[in-house]
Amino acid sequence: MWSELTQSKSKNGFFSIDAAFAIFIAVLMFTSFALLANSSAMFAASYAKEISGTNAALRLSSYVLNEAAAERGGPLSGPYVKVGELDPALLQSIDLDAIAIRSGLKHASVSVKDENKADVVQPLVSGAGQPESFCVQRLALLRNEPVLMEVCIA
Amino acid sequence: MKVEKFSAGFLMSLEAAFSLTLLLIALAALPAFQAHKNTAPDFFLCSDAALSLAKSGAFSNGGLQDSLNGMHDLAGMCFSAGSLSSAGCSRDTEGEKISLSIPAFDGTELKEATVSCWRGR
Repeated sequence: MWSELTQSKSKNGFFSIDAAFAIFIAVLMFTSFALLANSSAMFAASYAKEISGTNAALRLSSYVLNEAAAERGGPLSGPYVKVGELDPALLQSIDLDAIAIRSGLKHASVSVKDENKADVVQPLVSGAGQPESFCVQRLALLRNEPVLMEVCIA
Repeated sequence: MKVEKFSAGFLMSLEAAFSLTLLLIALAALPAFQAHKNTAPDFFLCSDAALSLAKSGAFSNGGLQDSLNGMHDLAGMCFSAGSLSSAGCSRDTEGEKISLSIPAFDGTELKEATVSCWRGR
């Protein structure tokens, strides 16, 4: 009788600890999942912002490359655009302020550098620099030499 | 008494199996949380490099190695075309490599050239 009572008490004690531990784990799991879901949402938002910012900068860089593309023409052919070859005069004629206003950008800049990291044309800048900006780099030719064009937007 | 013991043991085994299943599911879901790199800018850079190499006549005027080195200095990316690659860049890289085929004039005829780009370590 005594033995059965002790065994029953011991069993009940074991199951109480087991239940308490299960509840603790359940609470821990719910908290972890909530934290994980929150951080994952924050990461997704930040990643989406980076992707859209970079894509917008890439679109602007393609527009600039196209607008500043050197034009050539022969006696037998009409003028044609040399894709990937920059004309400094055409680049300088781009109205970056108008583009920034139309696109709702706080800041936009275009710079072209040579192998020595020196500006080969006057950089185009619209608006004040922002702490968070998205920049992309593009390669192009200027006077048949490779140059790096960096386009930043915010 | 034996039935109670069996029942308790069965419940505990069930609980352990369930915990193990949850753990396995959590482990299997871990790769879904890995960050993916945005490779679009690198693809554009590679495409620009291929176009610039073809248009500058680097495939025919013997200046391919200089052009590859120059582009590496400019963009900080490793480039290779044909059997040549940018100085200081190993072609046996384990990272992601972008390869593009472009028509290039080698001095006598128009050929297909492959330009590869990757981020060096």
